[in-house]
Amino acid sequence: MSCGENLPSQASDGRPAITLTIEVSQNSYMASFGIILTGGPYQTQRWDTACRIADAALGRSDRVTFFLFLDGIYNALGTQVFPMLEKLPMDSFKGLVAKGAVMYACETCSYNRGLGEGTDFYPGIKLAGIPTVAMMASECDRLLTL
Amino acid sequence: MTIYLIDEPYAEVGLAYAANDPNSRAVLLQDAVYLAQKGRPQGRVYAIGDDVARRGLTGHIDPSVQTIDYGKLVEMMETERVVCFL
Repeated sequence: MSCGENLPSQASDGRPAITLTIEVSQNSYMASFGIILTGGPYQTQRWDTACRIADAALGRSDRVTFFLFLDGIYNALGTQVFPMLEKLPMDSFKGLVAKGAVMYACETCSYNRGLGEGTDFYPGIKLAGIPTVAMMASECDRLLTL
Repeated sequence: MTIYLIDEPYAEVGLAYAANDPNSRAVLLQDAVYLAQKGRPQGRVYAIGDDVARRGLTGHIDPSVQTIDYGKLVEMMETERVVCFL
């Protein structure tokens, strides 16, 4: 479903307009979880808890949608390096995307931090605005904030 | 039934809400599992087993607290109302 067809393609400052898009899977699922994650990697345990809950949900044929918000957008950074870790936080998120999780990152939060889709984020990350959070919150069965 | 997901720094508030809800189940995550130590919990309280083990609290958890994994947590959340104190 797309709700942005009639919106202008550019904002007044020339930046691309935020398009409100929510993907609806055609597959059957038991429940849908929305997860708003504001914690970045290498900071607190929240990203790990979010990934573990999401992985368990996907394993039970539930649907999972992330909205990476505030410093949570650093979880989408594809240039993460931590030589002592065999598995980086981004690897967990990539694994969730591969299993069907939808991963949105706040466009404004990313823009303000100098990060952008296609250059800094790994494939599968979609930039979206606050209206997407509202849509996600209204459509999911359970909303978690971490 | 309502599932209260509880972590610090709002853990005490979340547990108070859960204690006043006769149909509640409180689930302690992350640093909130410290509140699952012997003699502390009241009401029906669960704790995430991995978070208990990560903090070296295995064997120090109150017998009234049931440790669960994320699969069980998701199973509970699929069917019950969820309130976050995370």
